[in-house]
Amino acid sequence: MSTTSTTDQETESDTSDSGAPSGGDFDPVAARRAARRGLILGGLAVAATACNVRPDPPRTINPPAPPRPRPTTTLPPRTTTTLPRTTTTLPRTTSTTTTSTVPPTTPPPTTNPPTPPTALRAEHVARRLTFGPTPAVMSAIAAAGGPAQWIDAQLEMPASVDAALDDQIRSSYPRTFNDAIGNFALGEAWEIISELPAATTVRAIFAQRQLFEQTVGFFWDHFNVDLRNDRAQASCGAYDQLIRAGAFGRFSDLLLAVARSAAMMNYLNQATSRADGTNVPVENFARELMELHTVGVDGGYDEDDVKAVAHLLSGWTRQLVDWMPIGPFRFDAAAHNLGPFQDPTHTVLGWSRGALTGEAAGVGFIDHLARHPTTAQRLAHELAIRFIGDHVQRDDAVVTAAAGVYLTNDTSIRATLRSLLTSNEFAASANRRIRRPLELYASMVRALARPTWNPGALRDARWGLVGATDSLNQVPHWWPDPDGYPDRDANWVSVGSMISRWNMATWVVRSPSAVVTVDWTAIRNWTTGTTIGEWFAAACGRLGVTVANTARDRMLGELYRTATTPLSATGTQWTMENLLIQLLQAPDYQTR
Amino acid sequence: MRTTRTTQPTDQHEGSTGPSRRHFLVGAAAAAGTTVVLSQSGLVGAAAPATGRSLIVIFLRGGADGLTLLAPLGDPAYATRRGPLRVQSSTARALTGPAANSYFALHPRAQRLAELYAAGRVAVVPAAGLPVINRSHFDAQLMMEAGSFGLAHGSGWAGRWLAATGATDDHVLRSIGFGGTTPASLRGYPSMVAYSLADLSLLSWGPNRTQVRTNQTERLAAGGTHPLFSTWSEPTLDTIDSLATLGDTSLPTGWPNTQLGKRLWPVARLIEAGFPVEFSHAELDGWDTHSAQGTPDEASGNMASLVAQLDGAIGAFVDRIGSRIADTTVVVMSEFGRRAEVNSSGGTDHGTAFPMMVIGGGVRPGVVGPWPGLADNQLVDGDLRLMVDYRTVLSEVLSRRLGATSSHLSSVFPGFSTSPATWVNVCQ
Repeated sequence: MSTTSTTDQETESDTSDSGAPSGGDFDPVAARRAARRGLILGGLAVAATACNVRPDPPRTINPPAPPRPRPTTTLPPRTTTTLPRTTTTLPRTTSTTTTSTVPPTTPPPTTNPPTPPTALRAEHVARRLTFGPTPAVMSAIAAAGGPAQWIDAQLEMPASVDAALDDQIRSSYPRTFNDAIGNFALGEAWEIISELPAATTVRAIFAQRQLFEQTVGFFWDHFNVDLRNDRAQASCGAYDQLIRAGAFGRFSDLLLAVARSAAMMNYLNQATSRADGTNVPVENFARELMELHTVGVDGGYDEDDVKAVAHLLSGWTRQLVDWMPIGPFRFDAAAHNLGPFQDPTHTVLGWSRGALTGEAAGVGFIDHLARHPTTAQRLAHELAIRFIGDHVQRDDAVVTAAAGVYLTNDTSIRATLRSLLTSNEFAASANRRIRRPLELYASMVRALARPTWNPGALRDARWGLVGATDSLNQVPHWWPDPDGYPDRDANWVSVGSMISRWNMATWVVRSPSAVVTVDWTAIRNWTTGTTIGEWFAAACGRLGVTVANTARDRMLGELYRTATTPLSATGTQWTMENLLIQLLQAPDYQTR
Repeated sequence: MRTTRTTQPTDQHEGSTGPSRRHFLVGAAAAAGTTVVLSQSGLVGAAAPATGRSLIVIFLRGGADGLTLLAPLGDPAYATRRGPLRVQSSTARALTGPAANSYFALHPRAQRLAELYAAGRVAVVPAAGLPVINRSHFDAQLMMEAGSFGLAHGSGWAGRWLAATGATDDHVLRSIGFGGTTPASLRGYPSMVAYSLADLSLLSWGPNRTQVRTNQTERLAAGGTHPLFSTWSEPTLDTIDSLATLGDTSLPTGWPNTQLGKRLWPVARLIEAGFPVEFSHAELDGWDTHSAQGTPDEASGNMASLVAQLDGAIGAFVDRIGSRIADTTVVVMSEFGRRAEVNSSGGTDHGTAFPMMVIGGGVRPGVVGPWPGLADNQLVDGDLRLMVDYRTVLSEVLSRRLGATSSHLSSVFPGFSTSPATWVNVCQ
């Protein structure tokens, strides 16, 4: 069976023809077919992620189904769908409603006990806070004076250290730095679909500011926009720059910038929302602003509040360019109607507009949301899940402490991160997380590839880089929904994804190309020793994998080698390839 | 040898109990030269009703506009509510056959669905859904798929059904879905998820199946890794072995090369080949038509394209499985319908009720369950009134098609009281 050919036929355009409005002249099928032709990794077997967990404990044997009684009526029960108003404005009251037959169930208030003092290890910091340890990272940690000092250095490192990388990306992927307005033709906007994922992947592999890149990835998920959305894509280069500018700044600034961005305003239909005359404002952005960007779905608002906020933000639009609202921000007073907020004392989530009107009222509400205690706790929890692990509960002390730091430091993202990363919980969380697909791919390349790419090669490789993470369903910025790629480990491991994880190792090692040049001389020189056994020990150390000698001897035996076989023997590269694939497939490599 | 599969398709499948999982597993394991079965992974533990039947849920993500999919042409308020977006009686697909119905009609692009309806294979519950007004896609989908309405969902309704009825010899293909992430409905049972069957094999130029198995087993035995890998490694290896028996699984000529088409093809192939697929889930994205929804007769409109894709994929699926349709049930659902009124962007905003469809064997055809009406005094807050809890429909299907008992149902939908007296009779 020809795996690659069947894969091509069955998977191309699978994510591109998802039924979303399609526009422009971009042909996803042709693009992906081109991607899979001759370029690296383009034909990777594609398997999806899953989020299965262990099933319930075994049950006793169930009796066979009894004879089915015939019903005597066709009338269904009358179901009530009334929505009780939530009258309190306190944070974190639930606004979820249920039928009278189902009492609301509240999750048990579980928290983890505080972690005792734990030493912060360099290997853990390198695996968790970068896209894969390299000798350069380990040297930098040592040079900084230790892992804690290295974290501080990463938080303070100026953007200029990656200026050369920026220049390279600017020449290879020019549309990732701007929106289309005055910078490139609207007809080229679709190029962002491959350029930005490629740029993000290249940055993950090469940036010095690794913690910054990790944080940018976090906020892209937090404020997700799907590049393939034809309303948003002309503005997504500028949107990436906006997130990059704000990822280490104040969350209040970032939140407002996102709310006023052409990408988000188009993605969530804010730019075409009107509340004048008989028009009903579109609720989409107002809802996600609270549900996803700030307080969360149980944050203490209800359906009427969503409608009220949709009114509050009505008139927020963009100037028209070629009939699309993708120009500069514009407040259209004619489309604005405060709705319930016409009453200056009308309150949502503890905020009323007072004397504020028009555009300023919306800005005031968004700033209030950024500083809401529920937003602080939720954002700190999300960051803790990303950087510590998905076992962290929302009310754990480590989260509450970080939320407090966030509020007392003017919503500083860096201060919040520092609080989390200096915690015992972080120090004790080594290898608790599974490498997400981008992390897995980038880590393999960082471990094996020679960083000698030129801009021309990068440009040609963009669809190949898309294919690299597509194999595990995490092409950067291709998540279709506003909630971003899932961040629970269970979402990233299943039967299908295990196979793709194993196959990715084979691809990276065995498919050298313009982008991934595996430097076998350098790899041979991982050890100064002269035997396969010494090289194997060095490889295990680099990749963070522990292999017992019996297992090593078994692996070598299958390759007709022993630990004392000289590295100079014929077939050394073939041997190293085989062993590397198996080490990269090892479950302990797949964690971080 | 890869030809020792014990479960070839049969021509006379109606009424049979189908291939047992045990027989399949023995055959597959023998074929693959291995004796490892899922039970040794400690994943499942009890006996199942084992009807040999399949349930496929097609989830329309984004909140599909039910008022365009199943148009209530007989409702006097329909034309004014929907204006230019309404389905016109001149092009609508009439509901004919044993359960002919002139009050409703299908979207013009729903040709295959109309044919299936005429053949007595379709039941539609016109105003069904989540008995909670929650217009968040994510929250509504999560609640619906969890089947319980608290905020902490450890498992989904289908996952609980599969776990409650799991047998020690369950095959990993018992529950399988293609495309996207695993839906929340399947949490709680180790279902398999992939894009295609071909993706479930190892690259031929990497370590072979035996090497990978040895390597994984050895590494896991050494300990110290994430428990998810311990859980998934062995079922993954078993699956690779089993699927190697299928041969070429690429999309056949003429099959709809669409998102839903590609997701239903492997399910059809597995069912056709007699693999014991009991539950499958497929999704079709893009139904969140806030703007530019398009008119039903606009061939390139967003809504029309989606309906055509749904219709074509279901048609191809039914054609392919042939007589096995008698033991197969397809349920089409969405997290909510759309508001009755058209919005200012030429689209529709999030609403409440949606026409759930049940297609396949043992269906009692027709539009079943009450219609709430579209007049001002019949709408609830601008929405179609929800008349039937989606759990009522699923409970009936699970019970009448897959042999669920009332005790099963109480664990599938905790806190939900259901009995035949309340069912709408979508099944015979």
